[in-house]
Amino acid sequence: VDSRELREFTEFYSGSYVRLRKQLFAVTGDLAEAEDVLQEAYARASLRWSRLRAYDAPEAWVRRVALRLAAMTARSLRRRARALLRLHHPSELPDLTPDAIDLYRALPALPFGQRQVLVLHHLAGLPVAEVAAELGLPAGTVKARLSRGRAALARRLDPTSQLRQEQKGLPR
Amino acid sequence: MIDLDQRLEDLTTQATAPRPVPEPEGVLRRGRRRRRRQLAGAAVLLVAVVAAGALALPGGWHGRAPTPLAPAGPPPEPVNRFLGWWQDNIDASIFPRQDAGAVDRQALARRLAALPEVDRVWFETREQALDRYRTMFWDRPEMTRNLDPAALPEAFRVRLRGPDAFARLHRHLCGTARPAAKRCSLTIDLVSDQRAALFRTLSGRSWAGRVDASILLDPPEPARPTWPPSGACSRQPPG
Repeated sequence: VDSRELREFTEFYSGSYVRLRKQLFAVTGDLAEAEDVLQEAYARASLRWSRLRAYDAPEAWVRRVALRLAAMTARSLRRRARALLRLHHPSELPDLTPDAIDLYRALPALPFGQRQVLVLHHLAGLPVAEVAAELGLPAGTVKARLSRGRAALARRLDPTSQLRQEQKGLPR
Repeated sequence: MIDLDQRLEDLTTQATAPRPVPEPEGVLRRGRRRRRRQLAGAAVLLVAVVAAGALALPGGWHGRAPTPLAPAGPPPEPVNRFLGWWQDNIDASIFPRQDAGAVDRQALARRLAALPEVDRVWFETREQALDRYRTMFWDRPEMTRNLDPAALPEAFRVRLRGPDAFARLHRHLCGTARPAAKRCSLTIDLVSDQRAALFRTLSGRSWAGRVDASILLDPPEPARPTWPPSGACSRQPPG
């Protein structure tokens, strides 16, 4: 890798890291794991940077790889343990506002696919068609996952419907 | 309805902002390590191909391999496909020592073929094991994607016949009726009872919908340094 490409890569890295870390955190729910899959994805990008730099959005490539790594749950459990050992920090969250805590607790209840779609659409700000292209899914599937995910989150986050839920669950 | 855009942004900002952005140098280092590993993997594959070629030389091995895995009709679930093939074809696996040369292996092959309890024996190279694994899990790419060919050991696969065949085979080869902690013999690392392994896996807790196929495919075989060959001084001439 020549020095110009190296400089470009470091700029790309510093420019995109914070954004992607947020997105991966929202999908995985664990900061150590998000950072680890992201580091791996960037490492792979660094190996083929001379090709990737010509892409419209190398960031999307890194995100796709990181999401795929995060999706391999069996492997990611191992990776989480390794990441914890290496980073030497328990994955504790910093102080969050009550709203943020609620959302943080609600997210893991969604299936991985729904979380992925919600994050790409609502946090990364991609339109449905681009989410579909990025994940290799039909647009209809993306829409369905979006609406199911939103409904599930609303149920968990909105206290009144929460109450309804609990009442429904009570024994008669 | 909740404002999901804003709340996701708030949550992730609050959760990630306190951690600094790691230096890019770490990522670059990790990339270089990855490249080195890939190169090493390719080298191992090359060695395996050369070794398999040596084994196929004249006077080499003539075992009859079982029918290849060709499912008729709709492919069964990967698990069934795997178990069915396994049960039909393999009773025991003999893992030669890594430092056993082509001559040792040929001697071992002849010896195995001559044993009365051995119905059929063939040699499976690393690539063949990898091919089989890939065929079995063609629809489970996550199980084959990052598979390291070096992780699959080469082995003599054996179909046995007769009662207590495995115990007798093991006694012939290693002197004891069942696998012991230490290495089996000068040329054999391990003789593994595949039926027992299969049964263990089937009844064990690892069998929860998801198969960890590596358990079935390769018995734990720690990588050993191939040089210097331990016990090289005390090695007896074969036969």
